[in-house]
Amino acid sequence: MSAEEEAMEAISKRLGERAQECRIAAPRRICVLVRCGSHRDAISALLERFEFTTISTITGVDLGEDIELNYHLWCGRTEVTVKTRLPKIRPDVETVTDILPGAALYEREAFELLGVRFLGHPGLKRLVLPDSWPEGQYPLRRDWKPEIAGLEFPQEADSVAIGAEGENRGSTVNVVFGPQHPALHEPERFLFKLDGEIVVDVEPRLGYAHRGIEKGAEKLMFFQATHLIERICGICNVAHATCFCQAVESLGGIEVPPRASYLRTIVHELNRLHSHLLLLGVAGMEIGFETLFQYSWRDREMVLDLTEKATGNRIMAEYNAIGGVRRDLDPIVGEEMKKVLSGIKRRAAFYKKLLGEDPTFGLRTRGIGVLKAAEALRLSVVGPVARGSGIKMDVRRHDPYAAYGEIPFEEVAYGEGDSWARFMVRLDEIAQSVDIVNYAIEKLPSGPYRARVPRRVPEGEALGRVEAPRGELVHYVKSDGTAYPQRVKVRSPTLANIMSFREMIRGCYVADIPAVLASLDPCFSCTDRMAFLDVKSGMKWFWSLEEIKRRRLGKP
Amino acid sequence: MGRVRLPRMAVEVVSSLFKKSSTRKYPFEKPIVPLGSRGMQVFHSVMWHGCGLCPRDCPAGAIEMVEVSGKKMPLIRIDSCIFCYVCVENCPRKALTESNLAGHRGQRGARHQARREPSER
Ligand code: SF4
Repeated sequence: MSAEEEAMEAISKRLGERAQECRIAAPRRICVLVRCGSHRDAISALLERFEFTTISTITGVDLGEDIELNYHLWCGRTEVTVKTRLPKIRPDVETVTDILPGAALYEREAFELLGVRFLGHPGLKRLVLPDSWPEGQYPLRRDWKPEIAGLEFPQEADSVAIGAEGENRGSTVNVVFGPQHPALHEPERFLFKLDGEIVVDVEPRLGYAHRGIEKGAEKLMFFQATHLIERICGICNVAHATCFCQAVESLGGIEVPPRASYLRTIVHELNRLHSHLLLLGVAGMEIGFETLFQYSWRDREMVLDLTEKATGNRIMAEYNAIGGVRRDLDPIVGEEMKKVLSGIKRRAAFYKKLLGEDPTFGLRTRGIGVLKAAEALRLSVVGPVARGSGIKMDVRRHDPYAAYGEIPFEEVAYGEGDSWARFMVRLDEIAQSVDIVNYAIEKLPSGPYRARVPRRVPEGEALGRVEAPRGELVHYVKSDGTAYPQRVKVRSPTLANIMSFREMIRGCYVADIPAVLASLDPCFSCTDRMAFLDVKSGMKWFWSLEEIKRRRLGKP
Repeated sequence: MGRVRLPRMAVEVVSSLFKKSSTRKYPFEKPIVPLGSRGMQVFHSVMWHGCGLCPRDCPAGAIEMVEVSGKKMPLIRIDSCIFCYVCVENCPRKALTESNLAGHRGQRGARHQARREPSER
């Protein structure tokens, strides 16, 4: 039985009549429409059947009379979309955060942008929009226009204390950090609750860089939206564009020429290289190792030069188009790439040796910010954060796209789950990316690099997944048969990972905050939304100093 | 680290001492622009036949049609342009072509743009 059939069977066995429609939409993609209220059963059936079930995102779509919720779940080998429809006049649905805590942020997103009320959700608050946004205005509903909201709503400052008044007693203090702060590279706000030098709790708040790209993409034609989607993030722009193009291609049944898939792979890996080198430098700087910062950013510069030669721009590569890539690779540039990258591989080996031996780096990262594998799975983290906790999860390998199906490589995984492991995963991936690029240049097939595609895209919906430098990136695209998308939904990897920051940082020293945050490699402009909440029922909101000390030493 | 790698360090230091500085004195020196870089578009008015596709296709809304001696011509606002080259790719008569005049955005670009400003046309 194939993986797809296995997942379908698991759901239909549990739901029986209540599973209204079950189909294989594409290889490794299943779509199940369940009766309103049965989505929890479907999800728990999958959770029981497949050990590594994580939630990718929840997409809400306004269908006019109804609101459709799509729960996208990755079940180890297949992506299952569980759909359920709610009447728009009373969009109430039961939460899934108790069985799948990783869904907490996605439910809040659907709540504020579409007005879906998740019954039983422990903290249904705003995520992206300002706290003072007018009540009852849901920007992603089709009938909403910016004029309705008006520009005149009071701007209030966010809260400055975690928990209720009475809880803030003793030696705990609340410290607001950001949104504008010299140590932060992007606007974000953290509210830390400290007991002396030790972090008791944290409540981040994002949305300061929210640009409404999902709404904006509905106003552009598919090929234009590629250029907007690419600008979601300056660092992983290639990943975003690849993902969007793949989703549209599978929607339109467009076959990408083999040469284009290889070229996509090459540029995608260059993108990963520059992102990982950037992070390594940032990590060095946060820890106080500024030489490392200078060195790795020098190396990054070489990768950026290669990107510019291959694609036409250093940062915004604009290399992907629906149906292929926009430029061919000059063999001379290919040769140069191989030469420069072999130097970078040598350096990566040197950095790895250095960081493995350096006592200062070890003291600042080993055993700090630990995320256990079980916890990582529960919170559905992705990318290097998951792989640093020993979960072998790599879209490139388990859900191959572009040319990754033909390129031999192994996913990197470390079992420690601390900041050190997360940095090491990235260092190993640098060497691995170089190998992938070399292999792709060697085996580059000949032929056309771009297929001509019509502007109109047939009606339907598709899900694109790629492994961005920071982890699994998901784009959901729905078309109504015109040249304009009906709905575009982006789930960036940072949104999936950011929930785990709270788990990591509790019990650490204040001085460890930047290093642990850097080890997550957060990219807030991708995410531009987040906040925290306690989804574990019965979890203590307050910890005594002794408890924290015990926890830090690893004792129960 | 246990061992200081003096020879390797010395080689790096000495070689860097005699290298040219890696920064360039930008406005005084001509920047090195890679050949394939996407720079300012070149407009060939001979090829132009006024189909009006580029203002509709430009994702940034940077192209506006203006009247120049009785004919509608595209005015590309370089400050809104995101250099995506959709206009160049989609032009049916190749009236817009690519160039790598990008490193000079500071100087030559400014002049080009000034010439294209509606107030001066
Ligand atoms: S390059 Fe792109 S943004 Fe600039 S004018 Fe052409 S279509 Fe518009």
